[in-house]
Amino acid sequence: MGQRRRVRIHIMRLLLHRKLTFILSFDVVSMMFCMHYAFESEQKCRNMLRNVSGALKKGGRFIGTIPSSDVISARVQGKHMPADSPEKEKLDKSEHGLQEWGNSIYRVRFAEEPPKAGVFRPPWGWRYSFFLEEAVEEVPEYVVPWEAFRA
Amino acid sequence: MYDSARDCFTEQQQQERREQQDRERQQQGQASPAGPADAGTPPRRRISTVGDLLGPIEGKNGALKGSAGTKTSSDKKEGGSPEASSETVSPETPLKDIKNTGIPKTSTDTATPTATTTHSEAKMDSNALASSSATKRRRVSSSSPGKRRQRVSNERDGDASNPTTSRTDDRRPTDDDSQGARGNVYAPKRRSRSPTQRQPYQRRPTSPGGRYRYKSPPPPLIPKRDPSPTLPPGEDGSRSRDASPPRKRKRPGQASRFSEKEKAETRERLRKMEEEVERKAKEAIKERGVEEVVKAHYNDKRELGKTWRKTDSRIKGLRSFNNWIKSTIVQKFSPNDDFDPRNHPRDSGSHLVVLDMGCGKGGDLLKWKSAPQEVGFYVGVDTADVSIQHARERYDSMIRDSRRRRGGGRGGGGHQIFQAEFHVMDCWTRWVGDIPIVSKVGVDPNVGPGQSTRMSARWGSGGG
Repeated sequence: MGQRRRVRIHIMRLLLHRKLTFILSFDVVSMMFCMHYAFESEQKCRNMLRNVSGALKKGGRFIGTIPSSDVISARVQGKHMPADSPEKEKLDKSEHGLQEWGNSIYRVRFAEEPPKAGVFRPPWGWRYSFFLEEAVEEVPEYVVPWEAFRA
Repeated sequence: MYDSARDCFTEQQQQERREQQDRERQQQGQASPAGPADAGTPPRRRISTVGDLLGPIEGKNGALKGSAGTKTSSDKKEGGSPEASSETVSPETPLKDIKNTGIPKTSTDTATPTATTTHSEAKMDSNALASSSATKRRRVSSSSPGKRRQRVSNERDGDASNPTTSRTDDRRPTDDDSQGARGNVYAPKRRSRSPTQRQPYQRRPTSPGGRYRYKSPPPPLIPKRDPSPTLPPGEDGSRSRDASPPRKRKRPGQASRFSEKEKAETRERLRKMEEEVERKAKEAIKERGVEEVVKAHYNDKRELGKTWRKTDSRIKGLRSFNNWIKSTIVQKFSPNDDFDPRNHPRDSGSHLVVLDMGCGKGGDLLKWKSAPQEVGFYVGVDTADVSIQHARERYDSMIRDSRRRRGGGRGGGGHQIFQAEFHVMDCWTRWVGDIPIVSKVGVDPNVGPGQSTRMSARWGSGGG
């Protein structure tokens, strides 16, 4: 039955897009700087992955860009600070990681205090508001823990 | 007769007259703080000039005496009101310059309806006809102050230099009177032109003819004359005359004189304001969920143009870096595994079909256009409908450009422009198969996390 449906769709496709005769599914799905919005909850992640995998053909590619969770982790741990700076000491004493950083161009502020170790678990729901001058104004985004996503 | 006699007046006589006049006024207890023009008190206020002006009239017309005091004030106001009105009509007239530089009194005097009424009443007392003509005139003048000014000055000149023209003026003496205060405004000009202008005023008080009773207009001349000495800017008149036209020219140009920087600042300011509004709105919808916020943000984002993005943007470096990364990814990873760029036929079967979730405003269209393996069909999905509109526009313009350049042939990147569709949808909460074109291209609903059994079945059946 599935086979017949596919054939029908195939014919429709032939009529509609003559150049796409051999298409069975999408070759490529791309998500440029938007997948991190999906990491609000597990359900959203699942929906997203389902959409992607449903649209992709076998062997298709899923490409995209996201903010690096490695950098976020490093920042949360205060690795960018000089070792002997007072901020660093303060951060070491606190139970949580750095909650806010940035400069005049961009700013990251976690809604809740991030884990000190910089490991985001569970992999979704780590919300921060991101400000990037001229591009993004205080939009809530979510950490995409790369290792968790890859797994 | 009077005019002809003027030539015979010697300086001495004039002086005598002036003194006599002065005395008269003082006896009448007129409120004239300063003496006559030549009394050696150069810092004469306008009000004094009005008093001067009134002196002769009173001398001739006793009935007017009572109203003289009010008249001075009303006249003064009158001087202010028409000017102010003309100001409102066209703030760029030279009048403004004069007013600002020459006569502080007028500037402080606000144009009030009461002022005009009192003035007209006073006039009524003295001469109804005159007042009506004056008001009429005023109306005209307010409509075109510049023109009026010219006319008035012309009349004045004629008045002073040419007796015959002065006669024509006799008909509306109070009119001139009413403009006398206004005439102050132009005093500098007059003074600068002919120093002998004083004479007419001196003479006038003595003028025997009834005709000269109406010649209260001379007063206008006086005010002109008197303030002039006090006004430090002897060149004021000339300046107002000379400088005003260029200023006029400048003003319209001001808008165009905004530099790019100023424009950018304005833009920035506007953007800030919009951001403010947006932020408030965002806070309001914060409860409604994140996707709403994200959507709202990208919907509210303004398209500022490519050139701005490349030149004025503060994050142009970051932008180009991001774009470079994205094109690199597209270039490197979009082709199929079996894609061989060296001997790849340009048949349609090898074309890529791309689904772009979160395509935004279609900024990646060109990247896909220049992908090594030609893109045959492109579906853009985004949650922000405004962005999707932008993307559609961009795609259309892309097609137009390529048609124009290549006559419908191959695009600049060597590839024909792919077909594309754009849809608004939230890919995180809804199933992409709901989009008709996506389901046509082919999606398998039986996949994804949490559907492993079906997924295995799919794999087992050999997939699509």
